[in-house]
Amino acid sequence: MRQARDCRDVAGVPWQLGIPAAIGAGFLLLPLLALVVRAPWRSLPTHLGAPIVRDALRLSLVCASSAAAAAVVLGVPLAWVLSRPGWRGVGILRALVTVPLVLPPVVGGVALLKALGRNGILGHWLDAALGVTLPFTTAGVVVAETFVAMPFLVLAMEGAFRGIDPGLEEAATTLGASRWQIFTRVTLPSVVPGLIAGTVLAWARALGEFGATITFAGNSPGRTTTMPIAVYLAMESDPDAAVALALVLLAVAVGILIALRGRWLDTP
Amino acid sequence: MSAADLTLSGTVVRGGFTLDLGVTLRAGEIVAVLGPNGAGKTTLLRAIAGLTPLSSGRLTLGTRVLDDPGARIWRSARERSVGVVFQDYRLFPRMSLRDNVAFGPRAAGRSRRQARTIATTWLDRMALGDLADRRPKEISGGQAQRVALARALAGDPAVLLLDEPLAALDAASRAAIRADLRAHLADFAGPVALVTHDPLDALVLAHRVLVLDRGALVQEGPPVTIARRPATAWVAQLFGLNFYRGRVTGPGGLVSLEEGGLLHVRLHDDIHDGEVVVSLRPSAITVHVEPPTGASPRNVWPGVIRTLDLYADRVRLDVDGTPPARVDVTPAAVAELGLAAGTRVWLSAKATETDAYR
Repeated sequence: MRQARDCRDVAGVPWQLGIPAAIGAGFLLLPLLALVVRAPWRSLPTHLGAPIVRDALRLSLVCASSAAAAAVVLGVPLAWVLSRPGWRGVGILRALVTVPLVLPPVVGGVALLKALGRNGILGHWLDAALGVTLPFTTAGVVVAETFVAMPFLVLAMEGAFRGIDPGLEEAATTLGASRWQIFTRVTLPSVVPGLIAGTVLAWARALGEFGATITFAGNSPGRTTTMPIAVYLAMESDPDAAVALALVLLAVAVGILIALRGRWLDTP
Repeated sequence: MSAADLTLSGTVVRGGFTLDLGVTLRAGEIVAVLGPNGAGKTTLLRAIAGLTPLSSGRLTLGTRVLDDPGARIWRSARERSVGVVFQDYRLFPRMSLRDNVAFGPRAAGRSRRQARTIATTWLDRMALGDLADRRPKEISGGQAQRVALARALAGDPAVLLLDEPLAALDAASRAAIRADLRAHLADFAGPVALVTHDPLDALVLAHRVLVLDRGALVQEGPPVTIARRPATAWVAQLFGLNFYRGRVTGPGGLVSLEEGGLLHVRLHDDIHDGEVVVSLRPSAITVHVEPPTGASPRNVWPGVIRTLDLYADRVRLDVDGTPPARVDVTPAAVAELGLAAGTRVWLSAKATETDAYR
């Protein structure tokens, strides 16, 4: 008996840690629980069937997926460059690239307006030369979401690229492979788990994007009103609809976590 | 690929280490590169393969210059057609064995089908045809070694480099794989360099041995010469010989040893004076518990047994004396003479067994 008690003394949780831990867990879980408990379950089908909700959901999925795709196309090569050891200026570039990660999204939206808005540095030229306008369009939503989400993918992929055994790339060179062949046939297959995880993270971040999107793309139902914006607006007019929308986003988030846990995060 | 000699003459600086070397590997020749850790063996292979550039000098394959920093010539690894079998094999983990072997032909621009045919041929030749669809992690170390060799050869290289090809294998499979490797290397037309720690690899596989130490070539010759007359203590130890440095001090082959003691030796190559090295087989030394009487052996000196180790059918004694010596005796002799750690003994060796050379 005494022995068992000794074990518990070592393995147990001191109250100085246990109590804050319990409060912390409760603090994180209670709001989610409240969302589920207070959801208008009976009228849920009606809310989710409403055209404005369906439009927001469709727009969110299309834009987040496009943003994730853009992040992969641009972010994977960027991450590869950042992962190369010994290249000059890479350290500074890495620091700059991760700024959007810690930047308040609203600031990102303002910055995007100054860059790609009608009077922006590049936007001015896009408008004049190509007749392309990005702000307050669906394309603008994709741009804003990509801006915020891509750093997540870049960081995840950079880590994955660094984790590759450089010996494999050397072996490929001695077999006569070009840099591009090495990338496509040796490097990329080794980072598939990281690529999937990074893409899902970027997609989830894009799906939840609010600040940069509303600043750069505004709020135009069916064109730029994504789910988070719809939730925010509905809170004023129809709180039940807002809760219903929020519930959908919560379900997506939980689904992503389960998928990542089970499938990819644990495999090397 | 037509067979051509490979010549390296120059230096390779890698970190704080410098390899300074002038060697030629002839077509069809298998050269073992021996040396302690940090001797520059792997650096030599990397320089030939194009993974580490020369700092000065020149590397040529036949009439082709592969690396000449002075003339600003650099052929990258992919342009060199140098096949490498890495120590850890470095098989591509996400490809089947067939795709691993087909990688070289594919990179060289062969069609997928041609490359697969070539790969299948090589895998069959290595008796791995049945495993072609497996992944590298699903096969044994010996099989992985053969896949690595097949992959290196499938690209039809002009030079073949092997870095400790048998080091990762257990002792039981090593002998069989070594015999296998010998057969495959015999078919290769170009120069072969084989880095190894194992003296048996050098004896069984190589035509010539290069001994490197601290970035320099310290000995070069056929395996039998290296094994009989090692030039450094490290190689002597590798082949199990006693090794001493000394100076000829008297006529008739009397050598005064650096670490103390005198040995009557058999002098080679008309050496009459100056610095020599002396090697003595442990089995050429006789152990006595009483001072030996009679005049037969020229060299007799006392010592104390430090350790005894059983190797198969003999016991290796480590004897402290002037000079110290490793001595091989039979287990029966150990029992008969009552030898143990701390036993005082007399050692004797014939001058004709005591090889002195430069």
